[in-house]
Amino acid sequence: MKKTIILCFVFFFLFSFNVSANSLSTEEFIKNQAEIAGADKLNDALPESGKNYFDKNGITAGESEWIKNISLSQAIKELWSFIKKKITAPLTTSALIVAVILVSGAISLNESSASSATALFAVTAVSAAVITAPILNVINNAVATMQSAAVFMTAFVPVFAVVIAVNGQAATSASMSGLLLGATQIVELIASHLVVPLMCGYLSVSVASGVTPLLSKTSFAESLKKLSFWIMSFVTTVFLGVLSIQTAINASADSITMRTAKFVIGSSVPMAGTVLSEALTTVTASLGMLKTSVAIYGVVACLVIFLPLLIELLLWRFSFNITALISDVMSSSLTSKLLRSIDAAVSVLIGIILLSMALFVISLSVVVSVGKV
Amino acid sequence: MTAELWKIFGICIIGAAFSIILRQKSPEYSYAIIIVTSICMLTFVLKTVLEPIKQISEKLSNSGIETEYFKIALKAVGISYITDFIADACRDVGQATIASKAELVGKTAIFLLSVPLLMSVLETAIGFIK
Amino acid sequence: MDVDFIFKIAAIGIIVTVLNLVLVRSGREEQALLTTLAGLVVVLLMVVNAVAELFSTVKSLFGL
Repeated sequence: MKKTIILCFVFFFLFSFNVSANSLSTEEFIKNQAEIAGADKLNDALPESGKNYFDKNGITAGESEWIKNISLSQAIKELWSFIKKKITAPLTTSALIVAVILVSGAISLNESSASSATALFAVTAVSAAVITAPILNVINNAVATMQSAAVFMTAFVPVFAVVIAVNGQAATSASMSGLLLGATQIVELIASHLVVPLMCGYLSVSVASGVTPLLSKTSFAESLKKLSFWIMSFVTTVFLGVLSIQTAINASADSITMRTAKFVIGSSVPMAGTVLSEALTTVTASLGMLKTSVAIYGVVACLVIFLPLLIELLLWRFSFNITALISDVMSSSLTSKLLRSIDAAVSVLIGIILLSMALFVISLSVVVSVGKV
Repeated sequence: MTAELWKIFGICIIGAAFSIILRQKSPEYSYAIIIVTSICMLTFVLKTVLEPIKQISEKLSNSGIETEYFKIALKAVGISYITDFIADACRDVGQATIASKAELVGKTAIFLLSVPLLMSVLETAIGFIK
Repeated sequence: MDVDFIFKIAAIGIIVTVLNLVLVRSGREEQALLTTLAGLVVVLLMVVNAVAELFSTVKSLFGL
């Protein structure tokens, strides 16, 4: 009896060894997988700018050759040229505002005299008019990006699920991918349709109160901001909770669950900073688990979708802070108040985008970890 | 600026002295001296900031930045400047009513100047909501 | 715009005041009034010139 079992094992071992020996090189194996899954068509789901970048560098989900070609220096070069291209708008805006502040400060408008106070409001209105138009553009951009990320997820998750199913975890991959797809979509939807409009409301109230002496910034704007924070942290908690339950059911309760738990705790404290730092540790921990080329493709695509927007927003924040500093020095408090409130809105936007990015990467890594168990 | 500082302060003291001398017997000359002295100061200050402001606006227009808004801010500042001067002069002469009317006129002018601006800001604010 | 203006106005003011006093003392009230008026007109013309110069400076500087 023992012998039979041992024999069976040996046979099984040989057989499985044979199979893996027969199967072609890893390169072609991945290619086959990808073709089965339809990964070649993934590039089409990307937004226009990302697609261009991918086509230029020959990045497709179907091959893994490009992974070797990714170099740090090249990435930095790309980033630098992008920053140089994008920094002009914030810099010109801040130059204009600084010029206006300097002119009003040069002849020392004091708020004591009536006409000076009016002129100060006019100057603030000028600053507001200069800032708001490009910021509106950036916000529209952000919403479009989040929606295109959702579109990409819709295309990507099924492909990824098929790839994992080919690896031999059909049941888990199917259940996980359905769940992930739904959850991520819902998060993206809530972010772009609920939180971003809320932030826009906050922005519009603060801009209007900056230029109109009649309308002082009430607690209304503040509560709008708080509400958006609350919604974001609630959605994240629910999403991660569902994820960790699912992971636990699938008996892959490893370090990622701990990480997600940590993330849940971090994000229930509504501060963009904590969200950022916690997301970072989670993402770095998750990145170690992404091994298949498709998953790396997903991460790269995620970066290509979100990173430009993120950099643009960070550049705007940079320019806002510098200009606010200058206006503080020139004791132009109205302008600096306006700048700081817009900066707050932009920072919330950055938090939302980081969150979407983190969700994307965490989802990928959870699927990969389930596939590996 | 610093080289001419002493000259300007000297003018201040001379103007003040003359206006005190003449205040008792013929106050109208005293007022004239006050107004002319303050015009002296203002013109000096304006001529000093003329060069930097020109440089700033030249730099802005050379670098292709839309200077429309900058010009509006400049105008608002100029109006408030001249209004303050007129209102102060009227108040010195003892005509507080005229002074407040001058301020009203100045405020209205600045308001009219910034109406298109306010409109565009409010439109953008509405654009945020949509 | 110069300090000359201030000296001129002060000079006119002092002269007119003294003339006024002398004329009033000697009993020529009408002439005293006329001198005061003439001096005032001259001074006002100077003030108007000064104000005009200030306005043109402001206009050119702020593009009004």
